[in-house]
Amino acid sequence: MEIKINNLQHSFPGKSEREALAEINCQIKPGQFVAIVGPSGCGKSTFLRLIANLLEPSGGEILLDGKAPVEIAAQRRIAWMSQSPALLPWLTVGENVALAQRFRPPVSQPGLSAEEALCRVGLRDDLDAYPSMLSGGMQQRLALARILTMDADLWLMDEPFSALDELTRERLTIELLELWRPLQPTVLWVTHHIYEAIRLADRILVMSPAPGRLVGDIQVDLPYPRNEPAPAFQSLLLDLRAMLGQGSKQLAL
Amino acid sequence: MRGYRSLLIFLMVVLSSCRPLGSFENPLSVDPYELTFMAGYKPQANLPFVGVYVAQEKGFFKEEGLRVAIKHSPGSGEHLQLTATGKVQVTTQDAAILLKRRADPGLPLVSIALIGQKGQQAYAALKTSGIRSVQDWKGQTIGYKGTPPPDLFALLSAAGLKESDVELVNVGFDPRLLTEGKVDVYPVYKSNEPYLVRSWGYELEMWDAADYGVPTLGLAYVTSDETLNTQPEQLARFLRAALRGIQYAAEHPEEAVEIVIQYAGPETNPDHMRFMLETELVDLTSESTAGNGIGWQTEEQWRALADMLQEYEAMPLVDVQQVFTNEILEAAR
Amino acid sequence: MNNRHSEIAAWVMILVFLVLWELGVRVFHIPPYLLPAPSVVLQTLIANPSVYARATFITMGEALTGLFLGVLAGAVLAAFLTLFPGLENGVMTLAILVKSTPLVAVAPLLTLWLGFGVLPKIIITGLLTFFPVLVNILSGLHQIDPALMDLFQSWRANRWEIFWHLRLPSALPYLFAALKISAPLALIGAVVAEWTGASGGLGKTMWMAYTNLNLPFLFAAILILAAIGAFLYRFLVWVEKQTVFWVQPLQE
Repeated sequence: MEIKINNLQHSFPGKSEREALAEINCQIKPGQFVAIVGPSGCGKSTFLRLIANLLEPSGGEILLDGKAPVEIAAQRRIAWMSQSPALLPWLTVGENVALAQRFRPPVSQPGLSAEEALCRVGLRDDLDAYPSMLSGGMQQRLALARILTMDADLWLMDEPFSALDELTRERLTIELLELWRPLQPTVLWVTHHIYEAIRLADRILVMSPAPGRLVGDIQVDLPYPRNEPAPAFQSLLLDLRAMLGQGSKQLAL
Repeated sequence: MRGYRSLLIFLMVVLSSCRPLGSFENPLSVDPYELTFMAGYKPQANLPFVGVYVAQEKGFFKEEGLRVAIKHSPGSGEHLQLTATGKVQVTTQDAAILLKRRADPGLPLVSIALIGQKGQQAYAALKTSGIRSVQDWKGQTIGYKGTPPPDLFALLSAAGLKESDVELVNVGFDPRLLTEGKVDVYPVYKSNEPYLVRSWGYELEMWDAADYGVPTLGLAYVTSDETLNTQPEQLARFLRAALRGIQYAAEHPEEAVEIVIQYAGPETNPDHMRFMLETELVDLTSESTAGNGIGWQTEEQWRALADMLQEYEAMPLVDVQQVFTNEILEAAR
Repeated sequence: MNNRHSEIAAWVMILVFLVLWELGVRVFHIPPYLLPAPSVVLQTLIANPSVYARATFITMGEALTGLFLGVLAGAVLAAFLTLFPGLENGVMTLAILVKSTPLVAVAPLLTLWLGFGVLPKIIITGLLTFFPVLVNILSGLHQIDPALMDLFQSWRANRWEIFWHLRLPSALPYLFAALKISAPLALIGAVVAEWTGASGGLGKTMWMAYTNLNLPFLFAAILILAAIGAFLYRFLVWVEKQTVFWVQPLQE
C-alpha cells in the first residue's frame, strides 16, 4: 500500500489546546518497512493512530493508495497492533486468531486460516488454551497470528515489543521479519528503541519532540540479519542519536 | 463461547424454579354463589372465625349453595378497606373499632351479627406483683395497645384514679413484657394472652372492665352498606351457615379445635385454641340472645359503647342505627 | 489448601457458636419463649418437614422469580442505555427514585391491590434487585480495555458488533457482582413482603409463629433462611467461576 501524507497536523482539543503534530509531509512506497523513532511525547503514536483511522486529523490529509483511511480500514486492509496484545480473555487462542474474520468478511481475499497462522507463529499446539495461560511473548505472537489471517497490506505497529523482556524481544524481532518477508506489506513501526529500528526497518523516520515534525529520514541498506557489532550498524546508531539529540532542527531530506 | 454456555445453564436452572404467576382457574359451575370472607386477623380460634371454618369443613356453606373463599388479614386493617370496597363480602371486627371507623374516616361498614356480646378486653398483672385491686395501680406502669383505650380510663375513674396517677406505655402484642417485668399491668384479650402466660408458669390477677360497669362489646360479622343492599339474600345464607358452625363448635369443641388447626397450622398450640374457643363461648350468649338467637344486637348495647367512646375518646358523633342491623339475622332464621 | 482450612475453620466457628448458645440456654434456664435452644429449634424443624418444605418452596419461588425479572430489567435497561447514551441521565434519575422508595411502605399497598398471592412479592423483589444490577452492568458495559476498543475500531466494527463481542462479555463479571448483592436482597425482600400479608411462605410462617410466641418454630424458619442465603451465595460463586472463568476473583 502506498502512503501519501500531506501537511498532516493534529491538535488535541481542551482547555489549553495541545498541538501534537506540526506539519508532516512524507511518502511511503508499498512494501517498505518504516520505523518511526523519536523522544517520548513527540506524537509518534498519534501519527500512527491518525493513519489507522482511530483519530480524525485536525488538518491535512492522509491517502492510502489514493483513498481515505476510513475506506481502507473498512476493507480490513489495515492491521493494528500495540503494546497490549488486545486479546479477548474469554476466547481461546484459536477463537482469538479467528476473531478478525468473524466480522463482515473483507472485500479482498481472506488471509491465512487460523490454524496456518498459528503454525507460522509456533502456537499451533495451544489452539484450545486461553490467553491468560500464555506468556507475554506468546501473547504478542498470537496478535501477530491474528494479523496474518487478515491479508492486510498495511501493518501499523505501535511499540508492540516494548513490554517484553530483552531476550523475548530479540527473538520476536527475528520471527517478525520472517513473517513479514513472504507477504511484504507496508509496515509502519513506532519504537523508542533505536536498536530495534535499525534491526528491522529499511527506512527510519525521526521525529522531533512535541509538536512532532519529521527531522530525519534515513534509508537503511544493510543486509539482513543485521549485526549490532558491525561498523555500518554502529555508525547508523551514532547518526540517529545525533539526530534525536539535535531535536528541533529539521534536516534537508 | 464457553462462558455463555454456563450462563445459559444457570438461567435454565433459575427459570425452572420460578413460580408460575397464576394458576389456571377451573371454569366456574353456575350454581354455587361465590363469596369472600376475610377474618380480621390470622387464623385462630376467635369465635366468628371458628363459625366460618366449621361451616366450610362440615359443608354448611355448600348446603346453602355458597362457595366461600376464606382469607385472613395480616392485621393492619386491610380487611376493612377490602370490605368497604366490596372486594370482600364479610369480615370480622371488634365492635369499638367498627364504631370508630364508621365515625372517622367514615367507612361504610355495618355489623350484621354480634358474636361477642361482651368484649374480651381486660387487664392483668402477675400475682407475684402484689397488685390486688385497681387502686393498687397507682404509681405503676400500665400498658395499652394501639391508642389508650376508653375502657382503661373508665376503669381508672371507676377506681377513683386519675390518668396522672399511673404511667401509661404503648405496648404491642407481647405478654413477655409482663412476665419480664417491663410493665406492671398488661392489656390482654381474655381468650388469648392469659393462656400463654399461665403456660409459662405464672398466675395472673385480672380486671375485667365490664365488672366496673364499663360497656364493652366483642367481635361482629361485618359487611359494607353496598353489599348489604345488593346481596342480602346471600349474606343471610352465609350467616345461617356460620351461626350453625358456631353452634356446632359449642357442642363439639374438640372437633372444632382440630378444624381450626387445619387453618392455623402447626405453629399453633391446640390447647391454646381450645382455651380461646371456650373463653369466647362464654360471651356468645346474653339476655338479648336468649330470646332472639345468637348474634342478636340491640340499640342499647351499641349506644352504650358509642357514648363511652364519645366521652373518653372524643369520637365524633355517629348514628348508631347505621352501624348495626338485625335484618340479616332475621332473614337467616 | 488454604481454602480447605478456612472452610473448616468456618464450620468450627459455627459449631462453637451453637454449643455456646445451647449451654447458655440451659445454664441460665432461659424459657423457650424468650430464646429457644438450638436443639429445640432443630427438633421443631425435623418434626415439621412438609410445612417448612412447602413454605421454603414458595418463598424461594418468589425470590428467584423476582430476582430473574429484576436482573432482566436491569440488564436490558443497561444495554439500552449503552446503545442510546443520551437517555442515561433521565433513566438513572427514575431508577434512583425507585431505589429510594422504602419498599416496606410500598409492600402493604401492593398487597392491597394485588392480593395475598405471589405477584406482589415478585414485584417487590424485582424492584429491590433491579437497581444494583442496572448500576453494575452499566459500569461493566463501559469498562472496556482501551486496547480492545482500539482493535475493534481499527476493524471498523459497528455499535452492535462492539456490544455483542466486546461490551457484553466484559460486563459479565459485573453482572455476577450484582447478583451476589441482589440474591440475598431478593430473599429478604420476599420474606418482608410476606409479612404484609401472604397465603404461604417462610415469612408468613415466621409471622404466624411469632404472633403465637412460638419461638422454636420462628427460629427454625430463620435457620432455613440463613442456610438458603448461604447456599445461594455459594452457588452463585460457583456459577461465576464457570462462566466468568477469565477473571481472577478477589476472594473466594
